[in-house]
Amino acid sequence: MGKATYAAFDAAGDPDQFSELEKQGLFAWQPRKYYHSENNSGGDLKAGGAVNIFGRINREFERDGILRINTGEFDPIAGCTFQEQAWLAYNKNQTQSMGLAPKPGDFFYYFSLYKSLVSVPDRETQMFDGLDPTLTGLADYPANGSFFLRRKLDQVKECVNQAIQEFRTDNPVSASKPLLESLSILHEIRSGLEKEDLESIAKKAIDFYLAGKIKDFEKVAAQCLGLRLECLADTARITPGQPFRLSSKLWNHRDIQIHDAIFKIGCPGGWKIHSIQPRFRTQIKKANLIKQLQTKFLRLHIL
Amino acid sequence: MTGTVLHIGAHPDDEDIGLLSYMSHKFGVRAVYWSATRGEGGQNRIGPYKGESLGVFRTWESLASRALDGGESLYGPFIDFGYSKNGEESLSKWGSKEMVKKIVRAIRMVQPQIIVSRWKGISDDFHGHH
Repeated sequence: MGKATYAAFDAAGDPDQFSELEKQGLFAWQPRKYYHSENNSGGDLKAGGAVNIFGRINREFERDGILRINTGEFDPIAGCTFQEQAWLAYNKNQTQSMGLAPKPGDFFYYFSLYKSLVSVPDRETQMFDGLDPTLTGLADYPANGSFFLRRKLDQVKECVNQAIQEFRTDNPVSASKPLLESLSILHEIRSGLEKEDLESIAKKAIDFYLAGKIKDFEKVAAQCLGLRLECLADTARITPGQPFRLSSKLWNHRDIQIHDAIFKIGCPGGWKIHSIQPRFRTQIKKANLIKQLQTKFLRLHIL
Repeated sequence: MTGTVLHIGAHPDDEDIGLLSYMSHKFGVRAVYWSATRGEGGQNRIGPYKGESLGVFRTWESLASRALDGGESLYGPFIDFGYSKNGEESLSKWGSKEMVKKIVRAIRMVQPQIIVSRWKGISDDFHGHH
């Protein structure tokens, strides 16, 4: 797998390689840095090798070109270290008998920088050294320094900062306004991409990226607004060709004003919808409003 | 955030899990672990499932891991055919071009700034799949 990953790093950004993936909506994308893990190397092999030094300072790796991170840092949100959270997660691999006792304290991982397409210091302190990991990083690559994209993404970042300032866990609605502004700007960027002086392949990659980012923003904005969309089939398993009923409910937990609600059903490629008989209704329950409840009958066939 | 790290390994429990937790929880960046297989050829210390069933079960286990470490899981289409002593066997069974293609597919889907390979493809990696 390691050997294939080297080759994939070089091929991923070349639109002429595996161009058939474009049919799946996947376009050339060149990662900027390539690390490989050093966490199974070194140590006295007779004494169990790297297992005995895993998580500890390894003098062999304290040199230029190798990044050390300390996952034993305290996470104030979780109230424990990042590594403690990691071990709790790893212990979910029960079939593999994982049972590691989480404990606080330093825990070090080492990563060798095998290749970088951006300028980095000899001794890195973070994996994102030399990169902009915020939204404007998209203006660096693949937008090749696009002024339009940087300006617009800066505006999105300002809105996000405003949302963070206004966010209250007991009443997050006020954070939704700047988030919705962000969404508008992201849509504006997508629609303005075509006019930009960028390579076609870069435009496609940016558009794909922004489509995903818009979904992220929609999700967070909806959570702040107290909106929750449910979409359930009436049977747990569907046999190809089997008719079934799909129910959608939009819950409006914070009683926000909604002018319109439109439900659209997206199906995987190759599915056919033979008939749709939508039935819309609005339900009001005593104290809180459930804005819309819609039921549709579908007859789906998987080809 | 645009920052995304794509971590690449062979089995559902190969990941440098502290990296995923650190990146997602400390920096808020997207940390995705792509496993080439679902670990069908591994042991099962808690039940009778083997092979394909074990692969399903291990998929659930790794998804449960990601729910705690803040990362995401993706899987390649390769079958874990059990312990292998050398990489050539894996290359011949899975197809070297197909392996590269599936990793390229993951890269183009996730659009990461950074790739972190769990393995180097050398004998120190302990397993032919690695």
